[in-house]
Amino acid sequence: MLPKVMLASLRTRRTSAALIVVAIALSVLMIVGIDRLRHQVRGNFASTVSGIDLIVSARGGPMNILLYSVFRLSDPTAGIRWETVEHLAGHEDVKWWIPIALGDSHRGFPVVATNDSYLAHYRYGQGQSLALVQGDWFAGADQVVLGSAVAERLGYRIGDRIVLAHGASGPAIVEHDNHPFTVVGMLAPTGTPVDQSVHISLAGMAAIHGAGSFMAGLPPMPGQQADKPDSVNAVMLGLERRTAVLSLQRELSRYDREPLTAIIPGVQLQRLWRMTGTAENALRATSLAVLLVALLVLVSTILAALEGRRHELAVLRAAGAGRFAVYTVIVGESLCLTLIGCLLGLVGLFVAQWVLAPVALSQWSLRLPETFLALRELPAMGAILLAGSLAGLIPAEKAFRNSLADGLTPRN
Amino acid sequence: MVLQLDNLHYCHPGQSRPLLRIPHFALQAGERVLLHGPSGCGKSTLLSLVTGIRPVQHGQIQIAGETFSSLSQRKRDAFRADHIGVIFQAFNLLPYLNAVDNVCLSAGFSWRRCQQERASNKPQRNEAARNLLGRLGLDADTMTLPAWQLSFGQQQRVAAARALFGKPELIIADEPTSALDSHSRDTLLALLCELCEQSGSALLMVSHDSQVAGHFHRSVDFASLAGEGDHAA
Repeated sequence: MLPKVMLASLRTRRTSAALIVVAIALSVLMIVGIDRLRHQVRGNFASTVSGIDLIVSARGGPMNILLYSVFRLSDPTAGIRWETVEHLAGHEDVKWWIPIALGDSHRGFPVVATNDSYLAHYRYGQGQSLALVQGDWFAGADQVVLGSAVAERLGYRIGDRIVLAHGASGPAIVEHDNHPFTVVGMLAPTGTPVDQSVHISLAGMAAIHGAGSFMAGLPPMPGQQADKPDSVNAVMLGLERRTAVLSLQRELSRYDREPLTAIIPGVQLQRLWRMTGTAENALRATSLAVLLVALLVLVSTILAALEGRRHELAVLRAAGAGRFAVYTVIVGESLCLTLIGCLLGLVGLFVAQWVLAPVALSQWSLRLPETFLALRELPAMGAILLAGSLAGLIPAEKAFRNSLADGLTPRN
Repeated sequence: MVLQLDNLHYCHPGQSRPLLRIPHFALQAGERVLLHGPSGCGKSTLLSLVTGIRPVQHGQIQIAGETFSSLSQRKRDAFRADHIGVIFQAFNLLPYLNAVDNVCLSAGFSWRRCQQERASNKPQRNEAARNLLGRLGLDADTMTLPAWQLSFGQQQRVAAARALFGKPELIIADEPTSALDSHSRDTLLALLCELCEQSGSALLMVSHDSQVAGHFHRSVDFASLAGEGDHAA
């Protein structure tokens, strides 16, 4: 009987009820959305480096090395000599190695020069390897393989010829137009910076900089090892045993033929999150403030409605309603509004995720979550519902006191 | 004795002069009594005390053999649900519920009333409510309209039906007919008295209008309550 009374009464005040529900829905959408985005960005970053044990680069700031080598968010440091790369490749602890040479771009997308081990050994997410949706991995020095976002945004097809520019980003100052490259393959989307990259061979990179002997699409001169450029920017390493990471990192920092820095990507990411934590907390505080405002609106609207509901409550009291019944009707109402608000917010977020997912993947290489409600979000939702029902306690007590003061017949 | 007041005093908070002073007043089972007096003489306050919505400050109220005034607020609310039916001057109904649901409100708060009507489930309760409304002269179509669409006279009949549902020992009515013309007033009162008779409920009605005294066993001037006690009509 009481739930029926509560819902019927609520229906007579549906405009203000709908506004409260929307306010709560928006704050839930913000709180959960920000949390999910944060979680997802972290997940994406972690997924990008999930298979890499060490990244070796010329001596420099560890954060910079992480940001430029994997995420292409910063400028590369000076190169390390090819002899050093060979030393690493031959090290007994090293299982696989991926050389990375950066510095060029194609229409704003970074060019990554590497070799076959990139396709064979690079892992993202839960150990997934890269896959080609079209064509093959590059074999010649004049061939490129495009990340999925590059292919989609620029609309290239297999066989298209493209020109690379010198410089990592911005308007190309020098275009290497004497070395047109041919698109031979396209990678499947990964939700990592790989999607945003243009991949060429080390020989190709050497050729366009005139350092190797490869010129204008001609095969390398006899005796020239085109696959061995002078230097690369970084080497990603996979180790035989993960336990060897720390000792190898120490060993490389004491490497005597050139100054090196080796970083553990996972550790460096943790540092990055500590740095960005303040901004995240500010965002979270903002969304909590929005929720607080929504709850205050809830309390004040229910309180304001009480004045007009004196007769309603007097009828209930006369029919035998005690404190419990009055509380049930009023607190039930605020709980009901909060619950609908939460559901609406989650549905809104779910729809937004669904609509934005393709855009986010192609534009920002960000895989959006597909969940309606994750397990780790349950405590937050529970807290919001609890706060919503607690918000009903103040009006409920006031309603009960009103009914005592009014006696049998309320004042008009 | 269905209702007995002894040495009842009531002051509004912060005032020293008692608004209400009743040495003794009693109602027999099934008795119908009219309390008449001018507006503002404390009738409504007395009804709030008798229905247990306001706590008794001084004195004693006994209802159906229970020392009602010494019960806790919670027990008084439960006791009211079981033993007392209330009819207001106006605004008796929840406007968004229909007549049947309004009558069944009483049932929702009292298992005892459901048992009295031999209505243990919802269809039986609705049937009992329809039956009662029918006896008060509402037709089946009117019973399913939301209460705000009913005429004032119809609303008061629904209120009477809710008060009578489950045959409570005592019906309290606060000027239920003051907004009706004299013909409708007499029709409603006749029906109310008839149904009280049938269910064995005592009726205590307050009104400023002593013309309705004919429907009652006794008519008591409110002012005389402060003195020696009852006067036979």
